[in-house]
Amino acid sequence: MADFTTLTMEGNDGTIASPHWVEVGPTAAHEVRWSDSATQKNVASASWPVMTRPAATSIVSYTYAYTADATGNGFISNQGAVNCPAFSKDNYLWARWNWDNLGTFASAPIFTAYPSSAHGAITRGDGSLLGGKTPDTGAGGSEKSYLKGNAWGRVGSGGAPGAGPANAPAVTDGTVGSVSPAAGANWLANFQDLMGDSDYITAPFTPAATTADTWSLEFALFTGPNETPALYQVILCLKYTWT
Amino acid sequence: MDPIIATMIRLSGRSWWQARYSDGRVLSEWDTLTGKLLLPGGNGKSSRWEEIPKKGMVGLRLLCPNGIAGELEAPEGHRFFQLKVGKKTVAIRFNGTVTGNQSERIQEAHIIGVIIDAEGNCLCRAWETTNEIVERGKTTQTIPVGANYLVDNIKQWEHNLFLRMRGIVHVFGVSRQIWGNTQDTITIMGRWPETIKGSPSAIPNNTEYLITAPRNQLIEFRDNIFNMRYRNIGRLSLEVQQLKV
Repeated sequence: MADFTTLTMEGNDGTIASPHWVEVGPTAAHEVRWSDSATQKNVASASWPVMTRPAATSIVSYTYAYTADATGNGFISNQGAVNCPAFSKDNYLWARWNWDNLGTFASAPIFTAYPSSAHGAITRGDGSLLGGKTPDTGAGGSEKSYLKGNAWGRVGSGGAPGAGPANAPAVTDGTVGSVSPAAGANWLANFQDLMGDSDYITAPFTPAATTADTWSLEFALFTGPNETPALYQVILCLKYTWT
Repeated sequence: MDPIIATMIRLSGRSWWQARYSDGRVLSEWDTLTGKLLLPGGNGKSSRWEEIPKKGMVGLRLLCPNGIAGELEAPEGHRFFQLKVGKKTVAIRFNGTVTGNQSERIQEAHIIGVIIDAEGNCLCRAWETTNEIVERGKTTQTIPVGANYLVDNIKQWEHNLFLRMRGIVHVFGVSRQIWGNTQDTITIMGRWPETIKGSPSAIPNNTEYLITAPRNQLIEFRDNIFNMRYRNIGRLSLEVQQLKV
């Protein structure tokens, strides 16, 4: 099958001026980690610190790009030369999907998240990380995921982002169903919540056939006093079709 | 169909498309492989659907590894489409010591379709290849034991696990650590097969394992190429599929 040989998510553990892209998946042991501590570079997963549930909703400030169990730096940390900086929407070269020239997309790719590798349905408002919980992530019946994403309106060969989205992510951000940035040099004005097949981002383009390219992303994680304490092992996901 | 070809399709474990043209020609996906052996074996790279002639194509089949075939027909060419649906995933770790979900790439379905009207409505057949997780566990487990069934309990656990994991890993035993007369900690001892990893290596302790079972089936559904609801695909690229509506 003429699938892509390489289709990976990359995180920037360098700087905005000099990006350093490292693969955070889907190769095994590559992953994205979050913490409320800025000093968690090169920490084995077995020693990853527990985060205490906060008294008020807040962003989980520090995001790390891991390429092996005990090998990883903070996003935008100048390859670990400085402690992981707190999330900022203005770190516009944050992450991207990157694919080779061996496959052809048959439709626009979708960026979302699932609670586990079973890719199961999510119950809105169930208190889980992706289900959200009122009042933390919205009113009852329209709760959003604690995980938010944003995406760029064109592929990298058409021009990578030169600035961040208009608005910083908020814990109640999100729209039921699919949203897409306007085609071209545009982010979504507001972040979208990532909730499996319920709330997600669809690219405004089908990438060109057999052409290597990238799709720029930002993502941020929130937590809150009504989130159910649990061991969360969710996955970021690119849903796509190919010929 | 040639019984040898049918057997090879079954053994390949995947579905294959086969196109029929108005002049009687039949073009099978394995005819377009880039390798030298043009037979339906394994997951060989195929030439690209967008490069396959669409003019005069009046039939498209999906040959499935369970022996069933789905066929669609149209009076003229440029009415058929074919695509696969899949996911690439990135694992996240958030809070505390974890053995998390693995990053992975999966194919969930192989779809063929035919446009049936000017509005883009279409009839589709799909070979769904989603795996179901039937068991999730750890290579190291703590099991309660009683004074009278200590040995039997352990032997049963070992026997059951061996049966379930046979063919996935090479299990040659378990190690047991006794914590008194209330519980034991048992660890699977074995090696990954060479087919999974480059060289056999010991199964690590306290590692999560998943046992999955294929949930393969051929389904039929109606949809619309301008906004496919099936798995939230959305609008198909007409250019890639060379569709004329």
